Amino acid sequence: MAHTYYKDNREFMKALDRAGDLVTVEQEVDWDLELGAIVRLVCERKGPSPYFKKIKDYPEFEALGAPLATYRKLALSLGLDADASIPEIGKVYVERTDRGEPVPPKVVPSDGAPVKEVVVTGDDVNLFDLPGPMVHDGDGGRYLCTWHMIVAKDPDSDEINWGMYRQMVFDEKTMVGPVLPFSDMGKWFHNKAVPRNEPMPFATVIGMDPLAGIAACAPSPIPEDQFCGQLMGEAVEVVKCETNDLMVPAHAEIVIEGEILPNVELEEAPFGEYTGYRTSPREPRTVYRVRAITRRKRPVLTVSNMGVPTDEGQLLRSFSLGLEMEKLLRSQGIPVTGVYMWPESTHHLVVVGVPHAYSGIASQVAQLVFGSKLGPWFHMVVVVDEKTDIYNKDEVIHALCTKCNPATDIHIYRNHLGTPLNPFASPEERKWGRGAKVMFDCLFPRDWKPSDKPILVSFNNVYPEDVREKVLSNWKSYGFTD
Amino acid sequence: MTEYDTFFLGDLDEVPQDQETEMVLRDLTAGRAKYACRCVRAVVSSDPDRYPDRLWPRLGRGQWVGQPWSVRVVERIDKIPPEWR
Repeated sequence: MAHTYYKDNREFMKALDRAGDLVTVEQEVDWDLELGAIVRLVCERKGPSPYFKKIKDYPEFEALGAPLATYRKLALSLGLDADASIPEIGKVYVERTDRGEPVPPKVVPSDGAPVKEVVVTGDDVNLFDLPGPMVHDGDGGRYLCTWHMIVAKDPDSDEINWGMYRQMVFDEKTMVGPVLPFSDMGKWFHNKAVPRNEPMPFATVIGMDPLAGIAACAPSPIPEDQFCGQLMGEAVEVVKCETNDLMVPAHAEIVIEGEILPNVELEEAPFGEYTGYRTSPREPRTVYRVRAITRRKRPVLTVSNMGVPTDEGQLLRSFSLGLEMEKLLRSQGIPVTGVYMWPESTHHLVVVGVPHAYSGIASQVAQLVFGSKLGPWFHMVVVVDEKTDIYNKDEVIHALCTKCNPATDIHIYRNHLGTPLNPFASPEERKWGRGAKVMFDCLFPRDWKPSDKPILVSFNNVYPEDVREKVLSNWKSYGFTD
Repeated sequence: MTEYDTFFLGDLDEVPQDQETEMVLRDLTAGRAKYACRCVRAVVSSDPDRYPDRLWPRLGRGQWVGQPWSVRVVERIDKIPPEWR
């Protein structure tokens, strides 16, 4: 049965508008910094998405900024009320993705695919015909692809990957960007295409429907095109590319097709990244050679703006990483009460709620999540008990500062995976993708006698139920308004 | 006069001047193709009047230096192998 979802980004924009989460910008904006600056401020203020109707130099294009950078927009994308709580949004995500079967995509003909309304191939291809914005002052180039996904295929099987790998316009027919070797596409490219010196086909999809974007961000073991079908409750419609055999969402706004070239590198970056810094310098990186561009007649370019919280990458990556980690821990029989990754941590800190069921449970949690496929993307785990509300920063910080013994409960794991984007890492660690991890054990030791355990002094914990009920029922009559 | 900028990873003192070097210039000409990158062989100088075109140096993480240099492009280079262009 199909769930409530939006088949394309345009339907989603109407939903954003109805909920008061869209602002239509009628005046012309400059793709050179102005558009990016607006989106940045929206991200920092957690505001409504700007819908840009006029872009300087590009009268045939529109743009949508910060399409999914708040929980309100995420809730809407899943067909929920914009005010749904984070646990409610998470429950729907897990119900759709953990209980149903993967749903293979449905291939539609080109004449039924809006993304084929304009087709440009060969010598006519020019990336500067697209309004790639200069997102931040100081970036290494125009980042056409900030809220997009790259479709790639395992050279040796039919396995498909949708992933988000940033891409900078280098020249008329070339894009560049990092393809990290531990990523799904990176494993295929660096371990297969590069040693064979064979170009690997790719298709960059811009302005896909919001659930396709969520699927591309999610670190699920299910191929993303089928995972997207799970989120939708029916098959995502795809169409074949013009110059290779990859399938792309038929209702996207823009598709850029081509090949990722082995053993060729060109300069890319710097770029304002999801960590909130420009960490990685200009360096030689992977080259994407473009063979075709297909698009709608008046496409809406989607633009995210990475920087200090909160942008799409931080929010969606945190959301799906936390829930996938919860699935992983439950699959191993760990009695977790919940897992939450704060977007404000730039998906570096995860909070796990778990009863102290047996000695060493906190270490077991940390080793499982750090050792998983998800591990490279974060380096801090805070393990709290089942009574701590993992979504409540006040409670988690209180637990961290009162239950974690600095001498015995901070566990550091050295010589681990890291990413080149970690601002705290040394240049050498960044170069080689090395890092360290840390776990904060905020569970009182099991070997303490009950009489030795401190008592939490809170309204809910130190008053009898009848007193609490009396106080709550009389709250307004005491004179309080809230 | 064409205006370019470029990124120097190390200190500006270490940049070889008045000798041909392979580098990437970004074309700052206004319009749709602004910021297009060009692989070139070129000579640069911290003297803004030495060569015909203007060059604005940036450091490796995009830091704006603010003092103009000059550059002469000797030739464009295509680093993409011919069979993959």
